[in-house]
Amino acid sequence: MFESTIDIFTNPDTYELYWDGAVVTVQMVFLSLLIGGALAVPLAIMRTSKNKLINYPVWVFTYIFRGTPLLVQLYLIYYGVALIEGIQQTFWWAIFKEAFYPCLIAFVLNTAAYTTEIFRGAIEATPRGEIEAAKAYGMSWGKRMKRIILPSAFRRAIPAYSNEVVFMLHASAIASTVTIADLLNAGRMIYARYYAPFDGFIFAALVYLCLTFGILAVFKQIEKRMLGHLQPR
Amino acid sequence: MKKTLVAIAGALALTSAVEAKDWDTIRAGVDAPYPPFEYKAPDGTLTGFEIELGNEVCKEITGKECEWVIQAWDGIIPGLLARKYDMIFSSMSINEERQKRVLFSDPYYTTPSAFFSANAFDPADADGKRIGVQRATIQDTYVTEFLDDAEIVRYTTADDMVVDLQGGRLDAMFVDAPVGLEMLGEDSDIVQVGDFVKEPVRIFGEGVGAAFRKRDKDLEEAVSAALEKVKASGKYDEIMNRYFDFDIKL
Repeated sequence: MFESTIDIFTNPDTYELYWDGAVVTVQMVFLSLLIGGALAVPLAIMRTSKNKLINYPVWVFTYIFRGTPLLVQLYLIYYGVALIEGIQQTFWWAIFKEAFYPCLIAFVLNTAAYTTEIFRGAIEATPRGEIEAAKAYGMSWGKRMKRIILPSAFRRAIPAYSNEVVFMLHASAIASTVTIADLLNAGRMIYARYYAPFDGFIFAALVYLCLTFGILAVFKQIEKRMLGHLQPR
Repeated sequence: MKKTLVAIAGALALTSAVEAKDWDTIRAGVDAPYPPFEYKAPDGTLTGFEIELGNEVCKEITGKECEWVIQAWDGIIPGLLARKYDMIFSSMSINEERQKRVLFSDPYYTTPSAFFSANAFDPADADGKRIGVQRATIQDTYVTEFLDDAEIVRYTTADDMVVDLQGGRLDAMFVDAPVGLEMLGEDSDIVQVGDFVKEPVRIFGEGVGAAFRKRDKDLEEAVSAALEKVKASGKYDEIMNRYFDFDIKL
């Protein structure tokens, strides 16, 4: 049984496969988080609005995307869109032809929904006194948001958001089901080529672990810096 | 302690004795849908060329039909080794790489592979074209080796690949010719392009055989013998003619 393990890990192609996969995974997750996070800020502010017309549509969005499996969302966006009559003739097809963009869209919408709710919670947890003090200084709603509410809300959101980043990394493994050559795809290739499930998937799992440790280390530093005042002495 | 050991040894001896006796049911692993070889009929029952042929073979050995276990292609050999079933009867081409892990029966059919495309795709000029294959099939090996300037898109199942070919995401797909013909149907605007591809034998192998765990030599011999009988009795041709317009017998 170790013959194939030696075969696999003495072949430089194996490492190339995993490296390429890891690059695709990191790219995918980074872009999703960047765009999803940017979307989540205005959405979270809208979500905390008392005006039902502003609040309600965002609630529907987060409810749908948090309430359905990411795999289903991905299938709908990837396979569903291709079946829309005549889409191949429109400029949209340039985006949807490759697997990358449909997958990115699914990931962005999904992470935006979760992040919106994380930020909303943090915004709503702003101490009353801080807002009242800001009002007493005569700050407008915009200034209050910018100077008082958002900066402290983002700090409070960091621990919960680091979870979302790690979950996103792990959820990105489903990209391999729509032909994207990500890290899990490398594992599947080794599995199928050498019939070696342990070698293929354990190595992929180790790379995911390393990436997760990296993310956690970064967030630990950020927390130390931004949340120092909240840490027990 | 000693007693327990004896009991365990006894139990082990008993189970291996049970296994070594005649096969009273044969569990066969199959990757479905892969029409016309194996697919679900509208009423949900499993049918197709290999299902019918496999059932005839099982009847020769055990007197009853095989017990079919559906397993996705990329896990089909690990599934056999993990004893989820006793043989693979799923269009598995015999080749050297696989012979390292499994034992093959005599080949029971052979089919060429072919490219399918909606536009004038030329396999000789595949640079930058998107070509779909099922991951880790011999077709995958072929395009990886010979069409390395093409963008190769690897699918887990053949039907996902057909959806993408019809949706225009692929310029062509490279599959077993009968599978392509069957999946696309006659009135499709996607047609076979170029000739059948059967060479090199190093990749395409010497035909399709049933695969077994290496220790199950007795079952392999029984299945090879049963296949011989089914071919000689005319049942093979009867089943083949129901599914194919051309001869795939070996």
